[in-house]
Amino acid sequence: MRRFYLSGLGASILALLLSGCSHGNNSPAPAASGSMTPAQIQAIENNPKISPQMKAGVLAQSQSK
Amino acid sequence: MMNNKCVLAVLPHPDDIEILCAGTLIRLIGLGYEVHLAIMTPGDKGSAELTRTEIASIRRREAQEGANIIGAASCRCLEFSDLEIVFDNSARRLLAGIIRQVDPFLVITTPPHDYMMDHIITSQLVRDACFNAGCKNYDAQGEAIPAIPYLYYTDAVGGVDMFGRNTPVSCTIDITAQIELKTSALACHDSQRTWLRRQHGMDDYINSMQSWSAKRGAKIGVDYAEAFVQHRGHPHPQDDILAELLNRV
Repeated sequence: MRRFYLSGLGASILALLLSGCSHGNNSPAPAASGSMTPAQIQAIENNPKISPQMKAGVLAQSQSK
Repeated sequence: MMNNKCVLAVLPHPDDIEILCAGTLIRLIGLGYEVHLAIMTPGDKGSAELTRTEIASIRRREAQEGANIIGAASCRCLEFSDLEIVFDNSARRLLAGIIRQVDPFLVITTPPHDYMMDHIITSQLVRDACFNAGCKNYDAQGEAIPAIPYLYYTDAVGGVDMFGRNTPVSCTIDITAQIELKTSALACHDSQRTWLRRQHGMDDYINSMQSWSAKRGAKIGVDYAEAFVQHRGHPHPQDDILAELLNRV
């Protein structure tokens, strides 16, 4: 666990996030409409870290708005 | 309603924005708001194999890539070091200078009770800067801001404070339509994702973010959401502008 923590602070956040879920006052918030800008599309298309499945998912979600 | 359309998110480490508030920021950008991002550190201790300089260089680039996908107007690293963010006058002036430079009407940061000191001190510094940036004679760069901004805190890690008590939530934002974009932005942080994938044999990094967002979404009957609590201490605005802006669409 110590090595895990020191090796990735962001990653450790996620591990800890999943360890619990709190409650609170909620305000239902419907999603906004709007599509991606050309710069955002380019940032995704040109980034090899974004898998083809992810790219397809983003595109599908953008088109469904 | 208001002329100021600038939003500033200041979070400790390079991937915290994508994990905790990217969906909400994407929604604000979709409404025409100008979102600026700041990370306190370049994530210089986020590797077991690379040197601090090497991993910091990689993670600065990853943060910029994520910001580009979010659609942020700017992304800056304030160059503190992981595990070494301190609350001193130098740090206070630096943060106040950032607030003055951006002059946001709304600021997002980590909550005052979180799992580690970088998150806690960042929260304190940002809260402090929102207040101090409006004081004309405060010795920070830039001109005093005309109004104290709205201040919101993201979820605490695990949704609990250091005593295991549930931390408060004042508004929960539906990010169902933004989850794919948020996921892509987080995927830019490949150095962290790769490490977890190697350690756990699965894509925990992405899956964990989506699972947490789904848990928050379930609280309000949607697929994915992000939760926040508003700072309502004097002299910050009291009305829940975030819910107001994103509920009425």
